[in-house]
Amino acid sequence: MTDSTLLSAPLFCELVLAAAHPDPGLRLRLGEMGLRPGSRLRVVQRTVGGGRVIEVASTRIALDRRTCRALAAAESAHAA
Amino acid sequence: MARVSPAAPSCHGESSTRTAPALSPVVAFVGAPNVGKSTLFNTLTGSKRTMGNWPGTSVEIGRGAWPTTRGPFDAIDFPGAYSLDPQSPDEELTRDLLIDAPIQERPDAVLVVADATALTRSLYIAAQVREHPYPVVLALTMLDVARRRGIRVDTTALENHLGCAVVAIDPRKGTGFDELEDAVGRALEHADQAAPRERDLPTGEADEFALADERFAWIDAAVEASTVRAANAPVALTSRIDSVALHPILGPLLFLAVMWGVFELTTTIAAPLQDGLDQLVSGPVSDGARWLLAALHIDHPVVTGFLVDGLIAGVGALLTFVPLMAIMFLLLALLEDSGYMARAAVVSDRAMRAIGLPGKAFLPLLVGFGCNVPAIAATRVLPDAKQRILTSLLIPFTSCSARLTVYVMLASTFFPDRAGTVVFAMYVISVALVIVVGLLLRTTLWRTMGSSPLVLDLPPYQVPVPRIIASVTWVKLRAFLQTAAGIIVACVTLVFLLQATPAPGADGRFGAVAPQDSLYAASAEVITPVFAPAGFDDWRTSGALVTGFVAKEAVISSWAQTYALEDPSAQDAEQQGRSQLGRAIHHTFETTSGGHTTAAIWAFMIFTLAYTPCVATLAAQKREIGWGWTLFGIALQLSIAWALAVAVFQILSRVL
Repeated sequence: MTDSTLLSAPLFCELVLAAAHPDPGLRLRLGEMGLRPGSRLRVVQRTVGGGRVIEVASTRIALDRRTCRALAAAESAHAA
Repeated sequence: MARVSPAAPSCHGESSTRTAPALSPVVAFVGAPNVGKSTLFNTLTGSKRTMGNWPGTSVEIGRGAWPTTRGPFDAIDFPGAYSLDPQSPDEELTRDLLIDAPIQERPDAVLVVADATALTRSLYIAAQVREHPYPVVLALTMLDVARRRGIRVDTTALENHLGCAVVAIDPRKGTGFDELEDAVGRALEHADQAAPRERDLPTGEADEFALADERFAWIDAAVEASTVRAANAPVALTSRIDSVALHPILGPLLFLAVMWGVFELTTTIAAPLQDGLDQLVSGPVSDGARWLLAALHIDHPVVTGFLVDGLIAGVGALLTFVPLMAIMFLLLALLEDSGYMARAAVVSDRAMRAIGLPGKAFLPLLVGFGCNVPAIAATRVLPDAKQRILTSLLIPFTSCSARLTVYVMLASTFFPDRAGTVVFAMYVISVALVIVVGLLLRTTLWRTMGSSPLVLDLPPYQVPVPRIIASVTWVKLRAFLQTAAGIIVACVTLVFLLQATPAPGADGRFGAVAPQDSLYAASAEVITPVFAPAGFDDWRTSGALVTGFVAKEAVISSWAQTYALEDPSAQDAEQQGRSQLGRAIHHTFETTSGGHTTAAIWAFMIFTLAYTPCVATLAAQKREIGWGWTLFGIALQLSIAWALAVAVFQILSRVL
């Protein structure tokens, strides 16, 4: 799997967040919730409106479509 | 750093919300949302707690006395916050009181509540608090849930890394409380030894991202040292339920079913209870009061009228809202505590975004179609004060069930063959008004309120604990009654006085005056000319609207009173349309509209839809958003109602 975003990533694939969100405020807030560059995560569900449910360290976080599109992710070497 | 909330008084200052004795040590409860902080606070403080806005702010804080063997602690439950970098007024106040306030004004200790299943995100605020010389204790919750997920937390290792006491607790089962009390007590005793944690920062000035990265590294090291995860964790029940609750198709269906349940329960179950209370107060209680006054020989018409038809009726009006509000608070607590509220916010997010509101705003708007009063209270589910104010201003445009009595009566009288369609049209207009006014406010007064992205932590589902739900419901109900009592009783008493008092120069005496000779009629005559452009300038019609300000259900009975006719609203729609009152109203509208009766009736119904809600709704608004915004809302509603009514009459009278 080449680098993609959380929006295009397949479900249940072990991923690593490749880069921070471009918006500074959202970058901090996502980081506080465990979503920061290097975090291991999985996209586990698609939701109404095209959003996603992300699982990171046993925490489930719902993100909207736009936020998912802005977060780059790569396949985890750990999974590989 | 300059204080962002200079008006916010100190934690140690005098406050109407404080229940612990003066000079009790102040312990701040902080933590991320959904970690069990408020459940812990509610359990520790029991009945000795209050909910209210922190003085000078619109932030709701819980405060209570935590009884311990060392004497009571003054516990303050701050709103849930992921960090002390404020992104909302709630987080601003937390930061202001914990960090920016002078040391002597800050709490004496901080209790950070953390979720063992989500330790990484729970510890960010702990990392920030540990940067200051606070006595800190970490209360670790959800350990049972963590074990089921194959996660084991070594509290000793965590304690060593964090540099503060860590106590495992279960607020729902009540375990670990003695140890927690002991840990907080020892931290307070050794407060002079409290030191900030050592930080590994780059040389030179560090920007906010460098500071955040340092905290993340500290947290990662603590979690790495203290947490072991099973290689193949079982699929959690939460995941299985979410596969339905958040499904693109099944999710909305489940959501609509839950919302329908909330709507039904707040109307169907509350209605007979409300009727029963109303009959109790207007029957045995009022009769008993009259008997007592007669027995004491103080049953002068003025005294009897004021006490029975004024005060007792006012208290009765207040009490009829108790079942409704209790059921709403109960349902909110159930939805929140079970974990479903977060899922409802996700499902409705896209639809609500169209009018610039978050997903959670759907619940109060929906409840408003049953009754505006609990709907206003339901705006508390919104985390942002601006969103709460905006939603509270839109709720009065949702057509509550009390207004339905007016629509049914008028539709049956004037549109007997299409009554159902006409009533349905009023609901469609109501939805359109909410959307249009919402967009109008969003693009003007709220234009700087950004559309916040959906980034929502989904807590694990759990079975609500009845004891905690009942306790939370009672605290909120008590707060509503304390705020609403004065306003409701005062308004009902005022309307009674107007109806019972003869106008200057008119026949009759207090308590025995014809409606047309009362101060009520004289007052209604003053505002009647305003409705001339809308085609319904008659004192009986404008008087009914004034009574509707007290309670929309009273519009029809008030009309009946002014025409000295029987109130037909207990009859079916067809009978109402053929009633004497119906015919009398028909004649009045025909006269005032110059023959354009249909246009005037539509104008009147739309005015009824859009003008000020009942006084109980205003009382609820005052509690949630303050007098300023409530008065703004009144002006907004009256302006829109009048403008729409005039436009409808002027256009329809030319077209029809």
